[in-house]
Amino acid sequence: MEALEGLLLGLSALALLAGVVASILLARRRERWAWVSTFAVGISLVALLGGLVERGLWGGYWPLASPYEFALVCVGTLLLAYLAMIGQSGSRTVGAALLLLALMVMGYARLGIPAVAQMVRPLPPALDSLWLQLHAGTSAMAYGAFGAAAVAGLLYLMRGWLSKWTALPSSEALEELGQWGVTLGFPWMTLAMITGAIWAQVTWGTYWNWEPKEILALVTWLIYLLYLHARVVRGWRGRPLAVLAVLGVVLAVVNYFWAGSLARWAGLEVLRVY
Amino acid sequence: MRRWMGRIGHFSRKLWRFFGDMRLAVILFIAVAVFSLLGTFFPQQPPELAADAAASAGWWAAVQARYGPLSRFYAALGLFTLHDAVLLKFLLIGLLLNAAVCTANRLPALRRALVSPQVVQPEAFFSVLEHNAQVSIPSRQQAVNALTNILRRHRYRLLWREGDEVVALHASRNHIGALGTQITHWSLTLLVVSLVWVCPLAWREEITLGPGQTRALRHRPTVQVRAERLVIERLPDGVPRQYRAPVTVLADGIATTQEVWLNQPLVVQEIGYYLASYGPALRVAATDATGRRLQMVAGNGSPDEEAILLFQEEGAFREVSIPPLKVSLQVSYTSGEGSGGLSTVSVRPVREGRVGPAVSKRVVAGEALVWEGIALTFIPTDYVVLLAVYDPSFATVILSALGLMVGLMLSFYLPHQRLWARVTPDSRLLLAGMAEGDWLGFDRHFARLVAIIKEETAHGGA
Ligand code: HEM
Repeated sequence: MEALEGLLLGLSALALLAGVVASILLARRRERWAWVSTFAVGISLVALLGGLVERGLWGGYWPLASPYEFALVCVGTLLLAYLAMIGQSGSRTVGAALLLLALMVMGYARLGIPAVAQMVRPLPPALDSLWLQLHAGTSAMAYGAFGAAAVAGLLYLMRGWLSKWTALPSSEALEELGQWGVTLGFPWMTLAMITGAIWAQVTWGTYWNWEPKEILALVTWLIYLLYLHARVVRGWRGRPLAVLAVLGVVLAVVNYFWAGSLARWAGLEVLRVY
Repeated sequence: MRRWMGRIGHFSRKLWRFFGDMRLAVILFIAVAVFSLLGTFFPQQPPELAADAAASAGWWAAVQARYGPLSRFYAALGLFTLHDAVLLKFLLIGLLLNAAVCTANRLPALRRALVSPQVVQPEAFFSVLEHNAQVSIPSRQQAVNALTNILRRHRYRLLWREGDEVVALHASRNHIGALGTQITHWSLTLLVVSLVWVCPLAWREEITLGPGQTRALRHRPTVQVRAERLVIERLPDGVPRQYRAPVTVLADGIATTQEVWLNQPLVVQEIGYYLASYGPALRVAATDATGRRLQMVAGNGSPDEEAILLFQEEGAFREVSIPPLKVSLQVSYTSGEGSGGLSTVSVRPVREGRVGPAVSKRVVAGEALVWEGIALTFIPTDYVVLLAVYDPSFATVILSALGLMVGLMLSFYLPHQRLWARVTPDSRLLLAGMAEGDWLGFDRHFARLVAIIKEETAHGGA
């Protein structure tokens, strides 16, 4: 069973790699590669889904609990964001960058996470909750969309330098994509905060513990809130919004990797982290 | 008097303007974010410690050891108790007033937009709006027919005004979406009210119970809680799969029993009982040489044929007295779990305040340790720590968060859209449109509409 899961995830990674290569060629105006990149992403997504379903059936739970599973699900939502974005704007350069991000996450999940942490394990009691699964699922949806916004933001910020190498969409198109990603992701992130609060309430009797992970999530949410308000109400455009879109994802990454280390670095574990 | 009234009026208008400014919201968002971020670098005092002076003092001593003389300064800023920090409350109340005033300010415009929109707009208006177009039309009537057909097909609600010179139209759709921002912001207001005013009514306390022990809640002395033996379900490799303990709550003469496990609290009269942790305990019984059970008293409990000793700290001694023998026993216990499966009991007798030599024994459940003709039996068991939580803010917080969600979905996915048209005497059709919150898809939608209108007016407006 594990072999089948490994096979499907391996296929997904290979298809994703093919998608990245095709979309880079496509970004360099080789139009005939268009169908290859979309087809490869489709294959990668289906294989990833198959691998995750297989894992879920094998483990008897929704495969959303461990950092490894969460990273894989984020690959899936980044690919979904890619497909939605291609439908939305057809921007192949942004697509190539987004696929590159998905490939990096996939590479980290498959190669960077130790094999023992990749194994299917029964859930520890605190994680065995439907609310956690809803929380992780909605977070992954948000991060997929925010990933697209951040990629558009990064390309916007680096457009002067990048335009020497490749044809970029107009600044307006990049801005619009950034806004599209933030608008798509924000309701999901809000839902993730709500389901996370309910999970904490049901498991520990407090919906908000002011622990580093929660605070970083709140600050990320506030950054996107600032993005939406500053754009609509204060008329911000361009660079500051692109910076906010990138900052949101940087904070999400810090939260994923370093919330625990941050607590340790600040010396909190001695005093029981809440 | 009139001057005073004037001053108050002037002052309140200024205050209203201050809180109605969106720049304040931007500053407050950043301030809340920065203050919260600071909190990631400081340990947060568990709220259940508040009711336990000794535990609070221990916690505070650890904080002082780490932060030294600055501890008091940080504490004054509320950095160890973000949930209760005055500065954060201050910022949140600012945000609350800010959101409420901004939202209230938008009500009249919203009412106008929904109930009595301005239909006739001057020509200049059509070039001011970002989305605008101009179409040449064969005849006035034909343009009106075509517009009516097309916009109805796109689910617009139409309001026409016909004058001698011009015909004007206001069309709008997704009226419910216009309420999105209002719903979002009022939900936010409710959320902050719940956090600032309802949260302080909440309390939490830990109750440590050996199997079969009963205790009253400190915050509700009429409520009694009893826990039975903890059961730990394990996987084949010994890793805990689930912890369960039957818990009974006796409140107002009604007993409610339920098995409590992680993710499954018992809730009685709005108080939730959560399984927080567990630890080693011993059931101790003493029998004299004739086989008679001796009465024992543990802590400040009442005499019984069995005492339950809880060992919160590894290696600490717990005292149990045997009144018929005028002796107390100090018992320490190392549970097998942390020491390679070997459980050890060590007993020190205390007579008239003098501690005698210790007797140690590896214990197997039920096996006796004989001391001066008395057989002491020890049965290893576990105590459980329940967390009793009363938090009336949870319901309002979740309700307002869901309101926030509904408002967001309406604003983002059903944005209120409005169009204006003006048919001029020189056979031009002016069009302009806008969507709530500068909705992204609107430019495409508007361009599509204009293309259809051009096509149908050119073909006689079928
Ligand atoms: C955490 C709290 C808040 C949330 C979740 C929130 C959410 C939103 C959302 C989703 C929008 C619509 C944006 C769009 O259409 O793209 C919006 C618009 C707006 N917000 Fe807030 N907001 C919050 C706080 C505030 C505060 C404190 C103010 C007060 C200054 C404010 C004033 C406004 C205004 C004036 C608009 C423009 C509405 C429009 O153009 O239709 N918001 N807000």
